[in-house]
Amino acid sequence: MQSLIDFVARFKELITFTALVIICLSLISIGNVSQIGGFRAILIGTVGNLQQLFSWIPNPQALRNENRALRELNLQLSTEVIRMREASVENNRLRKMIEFRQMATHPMIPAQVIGKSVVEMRNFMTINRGRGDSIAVGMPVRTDAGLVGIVVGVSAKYSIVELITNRNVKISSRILRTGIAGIAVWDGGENFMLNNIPESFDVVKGDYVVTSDFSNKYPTDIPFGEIIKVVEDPSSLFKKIYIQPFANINSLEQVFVVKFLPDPERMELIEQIEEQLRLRK
Amino acid sequence: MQYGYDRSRKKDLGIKYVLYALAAVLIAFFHVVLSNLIAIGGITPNLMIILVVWITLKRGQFVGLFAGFLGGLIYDAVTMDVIGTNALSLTIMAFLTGFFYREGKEEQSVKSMKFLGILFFAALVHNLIYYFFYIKLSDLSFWNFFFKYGIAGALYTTVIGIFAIFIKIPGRQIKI
Repeated sequence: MQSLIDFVARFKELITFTALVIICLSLISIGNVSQIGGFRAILIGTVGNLQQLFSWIPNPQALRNENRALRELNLQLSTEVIRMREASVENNRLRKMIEFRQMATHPMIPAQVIGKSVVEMRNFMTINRGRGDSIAVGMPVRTDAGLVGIVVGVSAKYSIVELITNRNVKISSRILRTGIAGIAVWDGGENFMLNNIPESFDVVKGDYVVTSDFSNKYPTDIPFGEIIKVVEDPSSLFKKIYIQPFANINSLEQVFVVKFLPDPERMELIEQIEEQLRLRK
Repeated sequence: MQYGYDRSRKKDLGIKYVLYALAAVLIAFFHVVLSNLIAIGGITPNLMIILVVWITLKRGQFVGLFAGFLGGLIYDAVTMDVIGTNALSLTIMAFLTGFFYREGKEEQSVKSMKFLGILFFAALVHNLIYYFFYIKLSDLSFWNFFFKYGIAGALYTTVIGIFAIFIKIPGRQIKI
């Protein structure tokens, strides 16, 4: 017995250590000790009260983290605001287009611009409507703002539109206020020039220009642009009139194909006369 | 005369143990309530390790074992941890720290730079064992976690341990 006591006294640390480790492992293996559930509930309450008591103490790290989180949230919300603004602009544009479509005389086919191309300085765009949508070569294309171009090629699902910003495009136009008619051509930049308007005619900056009923390509009264500059050249009998088109050619997304085709009899007659004139030369 | 001295000694010892227990409870609550104020990158010092190492170096391995076990149990209870994890890691830590105990040189042990070295070693041992249980049921890599948080936590605990060197408890030096 004495030897056992001596042994325990000699190795008391090791024996205690072993016993405590076994107790710890047992507690871990039990996991959630239900018996201390009530005790823990008291602890949670105590800890909660203490935390409430010390909640006035500022925590720089927490504040930094909160600031960072708020900045990220701010950035996220700013992005959302921009998206919503864009959606709002698009919504307004589409609403205008719907109203405009209801007001238009000629039937229109809405189309989405799916591509743009420049071939030898000629500007084209591709739209997602084609023969299957009753689109034919020669139909004008416009936006709610104004004239954009004309269909020059169609497939079953797609069409190619030649934009008005092309060297060979000539648009028979009319000044809305006075009814003076002329031929508008692209100046190679952002604007158009209205030719054949005599010096004596009443043309002022700000006049609106529409397609004229002399046109064999476009239906009459399609908005075209606004006169932004009138230059009187003493060496010429005609004015130099600069027109800014209403339609923003560089940012086309949605367009309308006007279901209008020139009168074939009229086109045929014109072609015959042009042929005769060429032969006379 | 001898009987009176023994009674007084036991009384002093009892008071000291009560103080240790109070310190353990206060430290546990401090850790839960206020430690986030001194957290750096989510790492907080473990004041219970400092207390247990300090007690072990002052009172020996045997007392240190109980200090580790009971301190760990308090910690587990207050921190809502699995009961036994901190108790186990602190008990093992105290057992190993106990080998650094030098009878008659207790004051030197806790009031020198040696204390910080022992503290760092003890904190590493504690974190190694504790994170083993902490990581066990997760997909985290133990060694990555240990190198990231275990070593950093041990270092932070050691830095805070500098203050323990200057702790002076009034009263007679008592050995058991």
